[in-house]
Amino acid sequence: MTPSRLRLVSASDLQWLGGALALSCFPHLLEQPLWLALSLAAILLVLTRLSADQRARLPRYSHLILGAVVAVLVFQAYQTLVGREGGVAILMALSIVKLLETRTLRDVRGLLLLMFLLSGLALLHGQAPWQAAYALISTLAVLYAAQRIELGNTLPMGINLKSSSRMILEGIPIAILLFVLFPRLPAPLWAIPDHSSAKTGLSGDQMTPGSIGNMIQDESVAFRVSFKDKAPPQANMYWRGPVFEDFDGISWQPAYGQNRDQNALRFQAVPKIIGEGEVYSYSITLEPHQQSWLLALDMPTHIPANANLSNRLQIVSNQVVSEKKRIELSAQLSWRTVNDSPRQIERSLILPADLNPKSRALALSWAHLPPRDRVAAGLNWLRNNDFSYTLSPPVLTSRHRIDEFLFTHRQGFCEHYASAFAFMMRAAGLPARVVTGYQGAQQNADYWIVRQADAHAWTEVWYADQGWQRVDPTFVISPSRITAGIGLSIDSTELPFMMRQDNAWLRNLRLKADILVHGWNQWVVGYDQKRQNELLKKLGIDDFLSSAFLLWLIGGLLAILGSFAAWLLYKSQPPRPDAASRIFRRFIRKLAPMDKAASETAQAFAARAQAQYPHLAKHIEAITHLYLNARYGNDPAALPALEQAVRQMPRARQP
Amino acid sequence: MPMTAALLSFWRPYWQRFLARRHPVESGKVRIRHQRLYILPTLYGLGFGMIFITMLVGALNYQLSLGFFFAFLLLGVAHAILLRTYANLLGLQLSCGTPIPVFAGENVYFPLTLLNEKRQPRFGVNIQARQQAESASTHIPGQDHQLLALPVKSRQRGLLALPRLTISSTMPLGFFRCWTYLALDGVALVYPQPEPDPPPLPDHGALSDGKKMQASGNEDFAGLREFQRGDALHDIAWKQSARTEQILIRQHQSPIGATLWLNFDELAGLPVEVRLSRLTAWILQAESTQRPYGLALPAQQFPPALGHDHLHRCLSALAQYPGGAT
Repeated sequence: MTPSRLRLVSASDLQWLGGALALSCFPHLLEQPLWLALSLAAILLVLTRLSADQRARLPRYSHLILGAVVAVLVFQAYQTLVGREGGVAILMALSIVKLLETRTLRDVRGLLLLMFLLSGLALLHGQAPWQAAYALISTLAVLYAAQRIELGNTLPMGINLKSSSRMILEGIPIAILLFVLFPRLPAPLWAIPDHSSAKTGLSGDQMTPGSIGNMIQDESVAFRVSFKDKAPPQANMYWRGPVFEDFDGISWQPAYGQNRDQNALRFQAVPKIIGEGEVYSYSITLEPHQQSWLLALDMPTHIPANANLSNRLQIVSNQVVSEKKRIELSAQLSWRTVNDSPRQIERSLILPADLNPKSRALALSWAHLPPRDRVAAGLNWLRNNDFSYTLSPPVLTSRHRIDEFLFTHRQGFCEHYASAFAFMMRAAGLPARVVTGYQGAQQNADYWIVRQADAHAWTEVWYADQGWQRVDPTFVISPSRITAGIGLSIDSTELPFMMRQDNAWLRNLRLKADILVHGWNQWVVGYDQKRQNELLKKLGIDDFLSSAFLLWLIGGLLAILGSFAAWLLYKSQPPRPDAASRIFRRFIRKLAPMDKAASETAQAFAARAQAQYPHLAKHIEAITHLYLNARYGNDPAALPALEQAVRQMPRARQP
Repeated sequence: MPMTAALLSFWRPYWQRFLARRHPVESGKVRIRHQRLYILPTLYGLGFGMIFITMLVGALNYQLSLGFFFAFLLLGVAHAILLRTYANLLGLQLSCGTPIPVFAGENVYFPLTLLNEKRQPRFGVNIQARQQAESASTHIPGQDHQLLALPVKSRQRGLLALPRLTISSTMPLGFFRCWTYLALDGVALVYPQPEPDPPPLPDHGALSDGKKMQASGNEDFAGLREFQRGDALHDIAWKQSARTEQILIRQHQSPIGATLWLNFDELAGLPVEVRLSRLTAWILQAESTQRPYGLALPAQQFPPALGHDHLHRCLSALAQYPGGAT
């Protein structure tokens, strides 16, 4: 152990350390419950401002006691000290406490390592561009403090800042190369502990009329879509989400549960989708929604790896989408399904007994028609009975809610229509169910944005010859909702800003910004195994064991490291001698094996050389004279003359 | 542990021979070249490596795309730091001057000149001579040089060559230790150690104490001569010097019999080193009491005189008496 590691660190250095620690803890503090964040911030502030004198007077075990206290606080907040949230919180809290027992350079180094880690772990809270930039800034601060303390505060602030920044900049080429080439895994190493972020977006548990209406206020992005070749018409953009079979009179629920343990049931007897017509290939960048189901254009005909098609024709990922996720899919707009499970079809006919007698009676009157005509009759009835599409329908309160909606208020939102229509079709003897998802999209440059406000619900009915087919009752009530998006179908003051049709320029600006965000999501955040394969294919790499991969990896590393090394060697070269000396050096080489000692003057050497090679005496004398003139005299003509004289002199020893 | 210790001690001579071959003694100003510069991570640097691995595993597990980027950025930063640590020593030039002679057992301070041609300063350059407990550490500003006195313990009279130096640095961040070995051609003269409690000076002339007192007085003025290096300031004849524009020294006639001959052969019966030690002590004693002394060695004779140069000549002869370190 070198004694320098035990050198005590000055109080002002410790304040810098505390400052850098505050920067690296800040994004983590934002994620804590307010009371915890405030107490940890207060501890950090007090510890940073502690003078050397006050430190010396602290009781011996104070850091252990404080450590135990913050551990209890963190446990209070998370009920655990491990896992993604509790683990990060306790790491941060203990780093703060470590400041208390930091005295020597060795302690400082330990804490600095933790601070590097904290700066990086901040990315767990989000990977937006500004969060990435913040991680860089906090790393810079840690490097700055590290360099300042290591060099014993001998470096001026500006120079230190410049050199720390350059270290990060010099690291970026290597980071980019390895980021692109390092093999990504298709699945996590171990199960991610479930974390309790607020769930936004559609619910897979149930659908109650009104639940989607609430989402209309939410203009946040649900996902972004890029079509490979061309996009389907907007009216056909139905993004399929959770499907519901069981109706209890108030809400719709999935028959076997959407998310939980029924995986085995979900993938039993999966019907087959036979697509017809044009194939649309596209990729979705899904915002994390903490669910395992994905959204896909109706109907998906290509299922991505790591995902399955459930028996409700819904695409379910192998793991919860807790980070931005990019999925490659393709769809066909017309289809039929075969091999539908008879049990599921039966289940799609069940209605709660003795509820909604009026609706049931109405639907029964269509029961004698062929299936397609029953659907047409239902839609016609809706079209002809003054129904309206509104975001704020009257609240349904009675026991017979479908009756209340269909016969009393006649005002509703998509889920009211989907729910009522599925009910009527079942009553008419046609298997029907409710599908939720999103409808429509907003084009922005070469991709489309789907927002939470685009949430939608529709109905699916089952025909013996074609299987499950989509029927959207909202379309007959408000066709513009489907063809032009929600912005034109509803009074705009009810809508969030981005969904409206006015203030075009401001919306354009925000759409421009979204292009950047989209690119970031596509190429940085969403750079996963799939994307990597695509990119590597373009580079001619088929797999990670191929020689092409090694060539790119090693070639890239050599190119980067080599250019740094070359630059380093270049910078450390002794200063280049002046022209006259260089030419004189050439002259000396011609007299090999003679050599001029460093301490020898040119004249002394010339005398020695003349003695050694009398036949060159004239040359030697002339050259030495010219050299002295060129180097020390003020004679501009001497240099070219010297060069010529040296060129003309023969070698002393012919090889 | 004893096993490894035994293994280490077995290989040490081979290792030392290898290093000596690889880093031969170089004279004059020696530039640290990249072929001879080594670098390895320190414990702290390995800790940083652990942080990288933690970040990478975290990124893999949480499929955190930016986590990958950050982890690799740490790697890139480590590489940038590695280059800086390397550049901190690369191209540094060292030379060793002639150290002031010392008596055996004292520290020789080898005057090292560290020349930095770069514009950037070089930080925390640590220099340690082989098998020495003490090391010296210094910062060298950009395009500047730094003088450093490196202490090396002398054990034996004779010539002491500057041991092979280890020049190392962990700057600027302590993640890496970069080092090189350098054998400079510095040589120090080590006088024999003066005997701690020597017998009185051998006075053949049987002079009384009073006469001795007179001898150190300045009454017996004998003439002037030109200044020589090593002459005492109080012997300068200031008035005459001012007139002649030469520095002149007053010469004194020492009383006959006051001349002291220190003879190696007269100390027969004692081991060589003890004789040299005693002669050293006597010379110092004579010099401090301003008694001219001569030194007779079997192969050399130094006629009686006084002054710095005479002292140095005598002590050098003793230091280099056959049998000492070379």
